[in-house]
Order: sequence, then structure tokens, then C-alpha cells
Amino acid sequence: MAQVSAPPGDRLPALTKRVTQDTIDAWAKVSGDSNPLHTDPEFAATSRFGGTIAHGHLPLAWFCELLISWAGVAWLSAGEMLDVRFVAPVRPGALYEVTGTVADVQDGRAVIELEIAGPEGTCVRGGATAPIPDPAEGNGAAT
Amino acid sequence: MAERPELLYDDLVPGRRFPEFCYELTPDLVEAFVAATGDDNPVYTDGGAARELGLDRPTAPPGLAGIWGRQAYLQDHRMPPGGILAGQDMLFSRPVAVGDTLRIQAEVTRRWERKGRRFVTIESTARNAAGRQCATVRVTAIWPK
Repeated sequence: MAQVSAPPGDRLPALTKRVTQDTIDAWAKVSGDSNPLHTDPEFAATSRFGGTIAHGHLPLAWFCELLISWAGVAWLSAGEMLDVRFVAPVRPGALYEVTGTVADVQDGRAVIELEIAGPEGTCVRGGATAPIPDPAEGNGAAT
Repeated sequence: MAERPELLYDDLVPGRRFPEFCYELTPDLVEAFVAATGDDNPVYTDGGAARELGLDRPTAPPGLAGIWGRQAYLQDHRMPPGGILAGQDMLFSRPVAVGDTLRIQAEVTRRWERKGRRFVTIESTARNAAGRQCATVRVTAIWPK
């Protein structure tokens, strides 16, 4: 059996996501959340955000994508995303980097720090735990 | 059609359980999710790719949990304007196949006030058709009124 390891400090392969108003509108449609703060630029311009912002659950979906790309489909049976905090809005027209770093290994599981950063710095941060992937096995993880 | 009533802080008493919410994971829903997120992992759409990984059928993207976790408590209500998502946990225990229907039970677990803001935590647990738990979502939101 191949040695399985994920030493603290290991970085998960990062994702890059560009958000457009079309992206936000597509999420509004799939989620059923048509709050004008997300979908109506005129309304949103009068809000404290000064324009539309993405729904909070969209970046959560990016974290899921990141974690499955690293841990494979095993994450669907034993994955946790914990204490995700929304620090700043995700806005249309900007590019965001979705990253994860192994912070620790406990009971054979990786403890991962998650972050999404864009032009305004960190937007979303949180934690996750995941089974450590075995590179010798095909598990749906990105190669 | 009459607009759904707002779900208000005063009504969110810890222990309150919402009616069971059914959420069908259709191929069209998954296709729309993939388009919105750009997550084109073939395990969500390609039966062959799923079988190679030991799954019977394409599996639903776990990011859909953010959607059903919210709809489960808003199925008969709407969020008052100004609500802010403050925090979230997602815990997965079993993959869910595309085509299955989840049965979701949402319950208010906590509410509190701090610095003039009202916070509510709602926990939603999804089970598959066999009654087995698949995932739990905890949403903490700043409730506007």
C-alpha cells in the first residue's frame, strides 16, 4: 500500500474563479434566491455594498469543488466544512483565488484551512476536515 | 399568488421544527449548478465516470447543500430584506445520487443578540429515500427583524 501523507503546510491545488453578473444571476436561478441585492444593480447601488454581490453560498460551492478535487469522492462520505465566515463581499467583475492548506493531521484526517481572496483581500475563510487521499488509488481527485 | 410571509426573529424559537422539505436532485438542477459554479467534475454528470469511482450513478454536487439548507426553512416564508449570512458548517456522511429526492428537516437550534444584532442558527439534516442521513447543514445568519 502506498504511503499516504499530507504534511502540514501542503497546499491544495488552488482554483481561480471569475465572477460576473451572469454568474450571480445563474446562481439566483438555481438557488431560487432572487434577493435584489444580488440581482438588481440599481437596487444594490443604494445598499451599503454599493453594487451587487454574490450569494454567500456560491463561494461555499467553490470550497466543495476545491476539497473534492484534492480528497476525491471520499469527501462526499466523510467531509466536513466548518466555521466558514464571510469577511467581505464577493463582487461581479473580479477574479478570486480559492485556496486550502493542510494545517494538521488528526486521527488520519487532514485539517485544512480554507480561504477565498480577491481584490479586497480575504473574502471568505473557514476550515475543513477530509480523508487523506491515497495517490495510488483513483478516487476522483484531480491529477 | 400571495407573497409568502417574512420569517421573523421572534418566530425563530430554539426547538422550532419546520415542515419536512423534499428536494429532488434532477439532472437539470445539476446542469444549472455546474453552469453557475463552473465545477464540471464529470462525476456529477457522467455515469461512466461515477462507476469508475465505485458509485452507481452520477452523484449530486455537495455544494447544493447550501441551497437545500436554506430552502428547508424558507419553503413557506421569505427572508426579510437585509439578512446576512454570518457562518456555515456542512457535514457530509453519504453521497447522494442524481435523481434521488432528499427529505430535509430544519430546526432552529440557537438564537441570541450581540451588539444590537440578532443571530439565528438553523440546522438542516437531509436523509435519502432509505431514511439514511446524508448531510447536515448549519446556517448562522444575522436576522434583520
